[in-house]
Amino acid sequence: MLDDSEHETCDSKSWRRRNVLQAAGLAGVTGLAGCIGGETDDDGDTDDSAFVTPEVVPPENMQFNSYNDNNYPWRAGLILFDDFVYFEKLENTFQPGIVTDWTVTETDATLDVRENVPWHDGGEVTADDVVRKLKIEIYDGSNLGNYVDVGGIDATDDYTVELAFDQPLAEDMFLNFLMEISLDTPESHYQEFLEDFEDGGEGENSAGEMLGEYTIDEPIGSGPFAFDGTAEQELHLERFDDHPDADDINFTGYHFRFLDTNEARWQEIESGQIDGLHTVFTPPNIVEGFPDHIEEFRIEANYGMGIMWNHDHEHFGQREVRQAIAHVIDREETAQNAGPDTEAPVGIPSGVLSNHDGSAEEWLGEYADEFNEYETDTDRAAELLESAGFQRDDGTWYDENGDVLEFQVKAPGGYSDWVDGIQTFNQHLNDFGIEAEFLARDEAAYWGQDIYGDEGFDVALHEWANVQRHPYFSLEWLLDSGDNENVRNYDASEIELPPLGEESGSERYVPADDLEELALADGTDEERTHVQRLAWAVNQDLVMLPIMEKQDQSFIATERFDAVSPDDPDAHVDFPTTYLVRQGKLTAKSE
Amino acid sequence: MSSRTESVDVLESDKALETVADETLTRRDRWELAIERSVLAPARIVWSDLRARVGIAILSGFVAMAIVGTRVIDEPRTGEGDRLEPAFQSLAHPLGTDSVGRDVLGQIVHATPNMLLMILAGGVFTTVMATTVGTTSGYLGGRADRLIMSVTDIVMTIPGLPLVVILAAALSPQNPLVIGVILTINAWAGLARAIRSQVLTIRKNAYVEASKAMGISTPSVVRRDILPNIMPYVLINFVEAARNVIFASVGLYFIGVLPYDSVVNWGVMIDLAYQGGALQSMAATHWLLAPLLTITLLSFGLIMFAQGTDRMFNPRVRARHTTSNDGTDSTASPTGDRR
Repeated sequence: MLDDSEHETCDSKSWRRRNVLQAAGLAGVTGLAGCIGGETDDDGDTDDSAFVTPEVVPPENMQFNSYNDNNYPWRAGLILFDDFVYFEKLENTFQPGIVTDWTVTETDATLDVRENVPWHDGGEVTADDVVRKLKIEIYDGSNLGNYVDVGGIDATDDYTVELAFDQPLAEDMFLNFLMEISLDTPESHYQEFLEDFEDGGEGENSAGEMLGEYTIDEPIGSGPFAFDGTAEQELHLERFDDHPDADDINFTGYHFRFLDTNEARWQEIESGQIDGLHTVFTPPNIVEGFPDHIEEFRIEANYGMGIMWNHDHEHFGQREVRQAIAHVIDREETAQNAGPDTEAPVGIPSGVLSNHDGSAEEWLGEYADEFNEYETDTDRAAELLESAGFQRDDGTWYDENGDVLEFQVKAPGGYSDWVDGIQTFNQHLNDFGIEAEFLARDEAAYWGQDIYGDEGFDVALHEWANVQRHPYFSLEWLLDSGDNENVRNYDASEIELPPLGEESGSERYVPADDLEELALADGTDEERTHVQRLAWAVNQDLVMLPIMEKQDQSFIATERFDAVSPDDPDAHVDFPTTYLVRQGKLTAKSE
Repeated sequence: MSSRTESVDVLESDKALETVADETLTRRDRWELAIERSVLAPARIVWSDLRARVGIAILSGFVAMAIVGTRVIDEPRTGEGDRLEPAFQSLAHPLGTDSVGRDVLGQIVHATPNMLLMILAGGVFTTVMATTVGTTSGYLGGRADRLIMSVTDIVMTIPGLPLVVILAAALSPQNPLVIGVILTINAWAGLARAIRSQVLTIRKNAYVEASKAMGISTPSVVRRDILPNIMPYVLINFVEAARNVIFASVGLYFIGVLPYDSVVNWGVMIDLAYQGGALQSMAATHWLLAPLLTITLLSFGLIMFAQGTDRMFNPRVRARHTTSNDGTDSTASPTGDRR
């Protein structure tokens, strides 16, 4: 669903984050009937049984090069490929994946590669494969490249990789970078691209295809399920018995059915046609209507909806206007309407995650009270607008030229939680005299033309954080990502603000410098100070206005499968429908 | 020979015409007749038909909803009620609320003016275009006919729905009048062709030839002799076009092609209700059913009205009703003229 143009503007991680959001897709076609049922054999296998989940890419269009944003089925990628490490969000710990152990010092990192993991074409995963992936990531634009030079990544033996840091990087930071990386670059498909990069090229293979355009029809995976084929409307993966996790898996197939609307997915899981859903926003009235055997799993999403301005716009380029709007919108009511059970309003708009448990404020420490909470205060909003040269006449705000202060908020019409949110805060703005209108857009047009294309926007919605929990990543996304230049037209190279925690005065903030220091993230006061300075920049200048933070909803139907309780720490890794399978905690029922 | 010359002289003078009528009409009589013919008679015909009465009642209800209802019922606001209050539970929200606590009845009512404007724009655009093009082409004939019909054929071969979807996506219209026109952008072509073929047969009729021979101007011939014959057909098609605008707009809003800024259309309501899980959970069913039933009712009203008014343009039926208030006058002509 993503447009070609996105590839140039976002790094390799972004597709994943954005695709996660696309879980709330639009316009639907339903799939085929289920294909479950069978007998238990001597090994405890339930023959011919398959776990079925939805996928938004039609099987006939699927291609398996994750660097090509078009038609990459990221959901299938979760089980087809192993990640380097996994992040468990209940206790906030990293779990081993392809990388089983790690040692991180100030100058370098050493990674142990899991042994006996096969590629699906028969070879074994070695340190060379890990090196290839890391190098391609950096050549493709990963921010890991700010800290690690490609020349400093080496395989010292079959199962050990060493990385030399250009700049010190804390262990936590380093692992946060690794958690977004899957081992999906087998030698036969990707070595040519790497060699071209190393020769100074742009990443082109011998056939003249660029990395971002290359397509793979039959993937060579590294995960517990391998590509089997596509049937009508379904992608079929079959268990790869040589994979070390396969011993814990007692069913043989993992199927992805093309279902691109939430409504179709709800309907199919309710009627027993499919067995699991992940990251599908499901309002309470639907959850309540599900039969008892459908278990809900909620995980911190580590992102949420925020208002994004075009800073080149004559009004939204003004800090006072952004602040005034922040004072008008009632974030609590907005979050309540968007997702009563799963959306938490942002407490202090600072770009720091963890609003569900309130720990976001811990990062702000003694300054928490000094940060602007942007509580609903229309008097303050009016003051701010007046100071920016606006006038209210008969309940409507006019700018200096006498034009009505009006704008359209663009968002994909199919993201029902966002749509409910917009309708709510537009009401607040309209009551205040700002004429905000919701402009519902087709999902593909929204991402492809409005956000990452030429169509543009004045005000739009976007997630205000990346999927990583540490403030470094959300603050980097807000203050030092390519989107500032390409999408938001926000110049964050230097920002003039009052000193941290003060109402007046002036100080020069250089977010890039603070981020560099923050990457050391060593748990000291200094780390906290940098977070506070960066959060202060977000809070005062509002590059985006964070509105809410969501919890991802996943569902497993336990009619044919057994799954652990949602309280199990392993159920808090992205995503229960794939990670629990690897852990032997999602198994087929024996009949 | 001389008597023949005399007759020609009489014919050429005005006396020939003057002597035809044995009574003259005053200006007032002419006005009365005009009102009788064009207003009262059609109204009586319409009223005599149950279907038309039902149709008119429904349509008046919608017009009243658009004009009065929007003043009586507050504009829907988020948070005015709880999320998904069911229907028929409270007077404050008789049809319940949606997922952001907005009154469903308020949404139905406040979407009505735009819907009616859209329907009107689409219907008028289609019928005016089709009638103009069809009658001109059919009446003129010859090269003009061939040229106009070639253009019509081209327009007709463009697939309608994809064209509308592309136009809607490209122009992102929000004005209901513009949307109405876009939705019927090539609907006129088929109707124009049908009208032309009717005109082709009508223009061969003796009375049309007579009008032409008398030197009556082309627009007058078309208006007086041709249009009345095709009006029933045009009116039915007006209603058809109007119904298509309803369905097309609802459909396009539903699939998200048309942009919307608030709940301006019942299609938006259906879309939001569907996304809110109205098909999966009973708690949201009222939110989906309310706009569906509204659309059905309006469509039904239009059909009833069209069927009822079918007779209005039938000259024989109209003639009967022109004189129905004057039972003693049995000499009315089929056209309603007095002898």
